[in-house]
This record gives sequence, C-alpha cells and structure tokens, in this order.
Amino acid sequence: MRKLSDSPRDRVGLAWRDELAVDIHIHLQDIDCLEILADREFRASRQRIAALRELARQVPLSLHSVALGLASSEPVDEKRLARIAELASRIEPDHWSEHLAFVRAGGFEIGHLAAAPYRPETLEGTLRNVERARRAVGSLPHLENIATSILPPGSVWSEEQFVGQVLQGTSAPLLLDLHNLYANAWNFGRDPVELLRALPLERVRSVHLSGGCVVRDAEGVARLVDDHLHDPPDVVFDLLQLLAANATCGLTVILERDGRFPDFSAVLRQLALARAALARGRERQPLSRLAAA
Amino acid sequence: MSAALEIFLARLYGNALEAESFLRERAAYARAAGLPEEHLPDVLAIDSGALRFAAQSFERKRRSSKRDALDSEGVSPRTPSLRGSR
Repeated sequence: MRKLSDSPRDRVGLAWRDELAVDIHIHLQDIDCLEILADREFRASRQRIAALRELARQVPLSLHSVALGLASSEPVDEKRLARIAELASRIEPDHWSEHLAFVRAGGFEIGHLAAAPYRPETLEGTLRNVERARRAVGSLPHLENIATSILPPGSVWSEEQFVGQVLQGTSAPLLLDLHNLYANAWNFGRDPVELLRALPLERVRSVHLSGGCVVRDAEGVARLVDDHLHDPPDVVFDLLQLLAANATCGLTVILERDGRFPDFSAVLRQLALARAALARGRERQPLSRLAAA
Repeated sequence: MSAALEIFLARLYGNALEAESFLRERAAYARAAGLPEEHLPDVLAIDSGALRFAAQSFERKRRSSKRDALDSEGVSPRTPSLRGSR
C-alpha cells in the first residue's frame, strides 16, 4: 500500500464506475479520492490494471472488497485473500476495505452481504479472519458496517456492540457507511444519532455515502433499502457532520452509486454537500435538522 | 455452535424457496436441516416478513451480480477503457 493513509485532512471522492469514467477524468481536479471495487477487477486485463495503477498514482485509491465474508465463524477462503493481495500489490492502493458480513457458510452461497449472528463464536471467527486478511494482504482492511433487513437470529449483542468488539480486538479502522447505519436505524426503529454515537468514532478513517428507497414487503411493512440507486438523503449529510465533529482523524469520504446515474453535475453537487458537512462538523456547528427531527 | 446457525441462515438467505419452506414448517424444517436444538428458539422467533424480504432481496442481488460479472469480463459495450490523465 502507498503511505497515504495517515494523512490528516479530509478527502471527498466517489466510487469508480465505468459508466462515470469519462466524467471522472474530466473532473479529477474536483475529486480527492476514488474507490475501486476489487471483485470486478480480478479478471481485468493487464492494460486495465496498468490504468488503475496509474490512477492510484494520481489520486488516493481505496480497494473495496465485497465477498470475503470476514464476519463469520468460518475461516475466510485463502484463495480469495490471495486474489485481493495480488490485486493490491499490482494497483498499490492507499488502503483496502471489506465488510463485516458473512456471504457463505457450509457451502451455501448467499451471494451478498448478510449479518451473521452477533455472538461470541462469530466474534472469535471474525478476529481470526481479519488477522488472516492482514497477513495475506499486508495491511488491515478498513471494516465496514452493513445494512440488514433482518436482525441476525441468535444474536446476543447489538450491531454496535459487535462492531465495537471487532475493532477492539483487531485495531482495524472503521469504514462507516452512513446510509447503512441510517437504514438499520430506520428499519429497526432506532435513533440514527444514538446509533452513531454508540460506535467508536475515533476509529473511523473512511466513510461511505449512498442512498436508497422505501419499499413495502409482501406483508405491507415499509422497509428502507440501501440500493445505491438514489441520492444520499439530507440525514446522511447531517450524520457526516456529526461524525466530523467527533472524529479525531482525517476522513476519506466516498460517494457510492451503482446505477440510475444522474448527470455528473449532480454528483459534483453531492461531493460539495459532503465537503460542506465535513467543514460544519470540524467547526462544531450545531446540527439543526437532525436535532429538530 | 454459531457455525451451525450461520450455515442454516446461509441456506435460507441463499434460496428464497428454502426460506419459504422453512416458514411453512419451521421446527420440522430446522430439525431436518440438522440445526442443533439449542438454536431452535432463535429460528422459531425469526420475523417472517423480514426473512422473506431478505431472501428475495438476496435473490435479486445474486441476479444483478451475475450481470455485473458479465460486464467485468468485457462483454458490455458500455465499458470504456481506463485511459486519460490528469
């Protein structure tokens, strides 16, 4: 990894998507950092890897992994780790990240991020997996909180208790996804500010911003889905402000969008909103909207 | 015994039809799947709407991931090369 991770200043950028490539290059002077989805690059051509490496020299790059399944009592697949390690060595990102999720167990592939039961056996497995990941890749991943529509059955801890214990046991930085946090608060009737404050904010080094939508399930219950297809709601920027007021280190903030891409001027406006929220937080300005909500 | 519970959940999350089968006959399904008795109360308490929603959501994401995988293999004509400089 490049030695940029301890930089104290806040950085605001976005997740690389090929659909945005041209605009990203045109507006690179307005983008402090980028995030590459590791799992999409495992079969990348040599030319593409060379281009990503070149990009990593121009702007701090995060390598984001989605399928290791670190938060599990099952050992992480060493072959998957080796692929991340190889990609990291070829691209030389600023840092890499993965979710606190399980994605498979006993040969059953979930195919996406799921919350494992928050209990001691999962914690022990997660600590072992994070250490395996550190050894394989050469640095600790930034660990990201996930959105879940179902409270993990068999849990004996809350999500924030589980995340806190993982961070305590690993010394890994926290990648705090503010829309995931908000979605969980919304879906389970919790206060997002309380949830935010319950996390070890001094461990946050990077942040994800995204959006979602409310849908009704078959039984008519409204659920907020983190779909990365909508603009981040105002509350996410308010949470970013609150985080910035309490964070002790520089934050790398990444805007995530997976589809229904707006005009790039709207993307730039969202980056500006993030910068403004960070500035308000650093100046300890009061939170008007959330406080009033 | 968290591993057994994870495996059981992965079975439900990984296939929406399995989740439906479980919801029809929870205890019998769990025992037939080999879930230890100590975890039976945990899965009997699962919110049916939340499980259905989660399983269907994972199903959609698996389909979407397959499309993405095709894109990453260079099949999509929309994929431009990573060129350009600052």
